[in-house]
Amino acid sequence: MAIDFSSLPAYLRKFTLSLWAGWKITSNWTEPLLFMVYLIVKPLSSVLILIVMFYVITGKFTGEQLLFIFIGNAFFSIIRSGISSVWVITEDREWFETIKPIFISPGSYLSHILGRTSAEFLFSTFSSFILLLAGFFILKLPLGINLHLLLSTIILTLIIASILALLFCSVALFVGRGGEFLVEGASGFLYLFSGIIFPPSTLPTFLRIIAEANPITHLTNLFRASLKVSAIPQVEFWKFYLLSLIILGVSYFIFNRALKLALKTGMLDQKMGH
Amino acid sequence: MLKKILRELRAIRGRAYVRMVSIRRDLLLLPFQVILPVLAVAAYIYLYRFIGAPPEYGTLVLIGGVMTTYWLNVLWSMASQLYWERMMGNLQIYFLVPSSRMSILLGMAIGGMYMTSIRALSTLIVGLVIFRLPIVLKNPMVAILLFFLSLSALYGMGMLLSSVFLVWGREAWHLSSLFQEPIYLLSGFYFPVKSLGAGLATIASLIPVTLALDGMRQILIPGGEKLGFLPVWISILILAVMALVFPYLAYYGLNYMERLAKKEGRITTRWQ
Repeated sequence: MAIDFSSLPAYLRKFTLSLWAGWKITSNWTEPLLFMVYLIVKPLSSVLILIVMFYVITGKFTGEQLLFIFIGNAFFSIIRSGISSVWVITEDREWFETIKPIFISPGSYLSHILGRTSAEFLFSTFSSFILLLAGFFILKLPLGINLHLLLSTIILTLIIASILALLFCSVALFVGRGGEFLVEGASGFLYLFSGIIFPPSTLPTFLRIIAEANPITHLTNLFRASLKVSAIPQVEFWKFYLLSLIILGVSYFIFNRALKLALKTGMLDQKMGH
Repeated sequence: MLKKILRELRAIRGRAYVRMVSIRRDLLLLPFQVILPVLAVAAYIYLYRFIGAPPEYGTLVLIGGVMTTYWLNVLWSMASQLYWERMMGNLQIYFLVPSSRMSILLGMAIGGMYMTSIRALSTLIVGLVIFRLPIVLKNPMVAILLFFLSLSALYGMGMLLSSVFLVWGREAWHLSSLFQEPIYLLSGFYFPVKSLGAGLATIASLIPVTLALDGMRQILIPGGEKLGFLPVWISILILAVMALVFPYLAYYGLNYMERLAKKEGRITTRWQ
């Protein structure tokens, strides 16, 4: 069934087409079923590593600690989608060399970035969903759903992922070869300081402060609570939303400034090579 | 004959030089290259602490983290390098150079080993200092032998894979990516491989990094023998065979794939 994209406003058209291109690029224009295997094998392997580590020490496949680790890890792939947006700049500029035509086409470049990031977000959410299903049916993890809390958490996660996408893309405009380190570094930092696979209390005091101040730690706890594996944390939702939206606004401002600067200095289409 | 040997040696030096010099050119990135693996390693060390593991499991993770840098280098800068070169339009130049493709791959491997060793050693030292992990060097000679055989087998495997990647198209990116987490799992980067059971651990031993990790942990971790899957001398023996067989297979694989790539017109194809 063909969709008439021409009837959509330019920014929405660009967003939708970038979302579609994101799907095509990430799935390598392959069979959707084959791609689903790719989408499942990687996250499944990463969670199996954690499960085996847990088993080696405790000798069991159950327990609150495993639940904590499993859900945190499933949630992290969604957060990571925001950071992965760095690849959008790298691919457009260095790889496919399409940044100029995309930039001058109707609709803002931001619509394109958000479209591609949304594709990543959807893939990651799908992977997490599959992991949770596997945890529920295979490992018999006692998971439930607080639908209201889950929806609120997913909307907040989408906002946080957009913030990460805007901020990291702002930096990516000015780095060439460093793009991969940016993604790896940010992922490693957030994996360590967001209470993903261990609670912040495991960290030494001076590092615990960073983890406790990190909003993603609270978001991860909200996700756990929405699956009824822990008590709902004492978070005032309206404040979390308000703060996230303010930061989103600031990130939008930063991205626009970075884009203008990249244009002015000629960095936007500067090919560094790998 | 001597002229030919000198030409091949120049090709090896030329290709290795690019990688060796890149360390100096990217000094700003060097701290990141050292710190980033430590971040991932730190997360797993704290995970072990969270579940009450003995301190030697921290060392086990650190060794895994160090070997990760080599595995990633083999995967992204050896196996898929010819694919990258094709994407950048350099591959045809490689085929015009009056030297063997094996010399170029060997240079790539030597440069990669040097570049990655600086990163890996720094990660090891930073990890040991920050986390104060227990480490011993029970038999330095065996440790050195195991380390060099591991690298030879690992980079030999990278050379072999590069011939396959030569004819792969866009899927090369996805396959490299697919060789990360599943291999971390199968090779026991963050846990003793014997925990997977004898059957899976034996299959995993076809990957040199599995044997390298298993052997090094037995030599470097206090009481590491009880974590081991195979006796160290068997690992050394298998790695020595791999170090010979992989480059040999790479030579024939590369010739075959080169012919295939030329026949199908893939040497100059980009983005497909």
